[in-house]
Amino acid sequence: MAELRKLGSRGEDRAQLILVTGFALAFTLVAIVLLLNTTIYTENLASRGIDRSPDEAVEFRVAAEDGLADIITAINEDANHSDSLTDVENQLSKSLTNFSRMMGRSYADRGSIADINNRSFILNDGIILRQDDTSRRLWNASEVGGNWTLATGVGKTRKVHFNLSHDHLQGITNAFRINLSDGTNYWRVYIAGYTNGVRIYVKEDGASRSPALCDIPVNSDYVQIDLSEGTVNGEDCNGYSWWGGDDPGNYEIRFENISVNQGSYSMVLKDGSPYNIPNNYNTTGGNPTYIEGIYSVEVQLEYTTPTLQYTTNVTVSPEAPHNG
Amino acid sequence: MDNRKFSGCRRGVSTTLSYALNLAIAAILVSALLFAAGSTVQDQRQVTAREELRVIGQRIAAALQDADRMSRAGSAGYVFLEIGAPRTVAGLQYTIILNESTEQVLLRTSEPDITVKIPVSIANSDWIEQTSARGGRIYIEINQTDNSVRIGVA
Repeated sequence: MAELRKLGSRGEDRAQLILVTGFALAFTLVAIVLLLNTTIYTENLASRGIDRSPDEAVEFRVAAEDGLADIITAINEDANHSDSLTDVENQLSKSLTNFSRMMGRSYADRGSIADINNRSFILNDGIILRQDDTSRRLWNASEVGGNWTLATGVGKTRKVHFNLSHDHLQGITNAFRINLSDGTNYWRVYIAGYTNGVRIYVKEDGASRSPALCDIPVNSDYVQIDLSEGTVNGEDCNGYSWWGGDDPGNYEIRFENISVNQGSYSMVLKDGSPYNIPNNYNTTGGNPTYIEGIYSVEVQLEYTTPTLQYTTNVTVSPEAPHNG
Repeated sequence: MDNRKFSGCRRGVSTTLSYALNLAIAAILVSALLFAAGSTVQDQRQVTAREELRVIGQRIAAALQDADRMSRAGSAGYVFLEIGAPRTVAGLQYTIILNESTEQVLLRTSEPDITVKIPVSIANSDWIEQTSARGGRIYIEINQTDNSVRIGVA
């Protein structure tokens, strides 16, 4: 009978193949685990929100545009006949400096540099046509009824607001009309008053007058008509707005059938060609009047974070038509 | 000694043969196992790399859209946006290419050859310039002055 070998000496070399295999498989398992880990990391990366800086930059731009719009509106509202364009520009510069400083401080808290470049803004001057006496008729300074031309060669118009006495608005036959004409085409809006409301009609380029675009009930003495936004007392009126929202430039603005209607109004014009404000205004502070003001402001915005550098030029013209 | 005494003896042969056969079969099985395991690792590596490239590509495409959104807001705009991405995917180095003609982000490894294409949907797609960057931290640059969209190593 063969003798059993003792463990030790030659026995130590046994199972080398299995040992090596074991190591190789262990290594393989570790590799697979590492790959699994990479996959988990990638999936995590996919679900992780990316850098917030772009959103914050857009937020800054919107906030800056809103703030600038408020500044422009406030300066125009405060402007009076004795202010020159230089006065307006100085006031804008001062306001921009303060606004830029305030925005810069606000965004510095988040570790960002937000700058409204107040050193190189461009002011596009405008003319504000205004009547602020709500009990005055809509006629010119000479108080002649009928029709009158407010301006010719107008480039663009924005922020057209009326606050009209409801009792003095006429029916459609004698309705107050605002007529815009560039010599070839025209666009006319009728503001007609009825016992319990206001109706808006539009007529353009030889077409017959539209049916009433809206019939808005009115319970107050005065009606707010916003021709820039196309609203009556804040209610949307089927999208009627200044020249159907497609201001062509270089036209005249004319009030028609104004002898009975009364109220206040204001609008901001940008010069076109040939620009002219006819001699129909009160130049000593009475009504109606025209004032040097701001049509729009172009300014450079900069927003910087450790991962983002964003520079853009924005033009702010509150309540301008879409192409203005 | 008389050799004939053992010439007809077969005792112990089957044990030795069995041991040798065992070893051979074990070696074949182990080889097959290791080959399969190695192949699995390689396959998984490619799948993982492809998946990771896809995720990175989508992040880059999203960042391009962010930059485009910002640049369109005004005029004469300039956007320089940095994005962090891994230097390697599953241990492989890769290249990011902004393809001008196909308007895609291409992410490519050389060995093994893996290419992932992610479409870029931006308004100013005709501004895209053929540029590339090594995997890792990259930048996206949109310049409205010369109407260009580029990427590069940050």
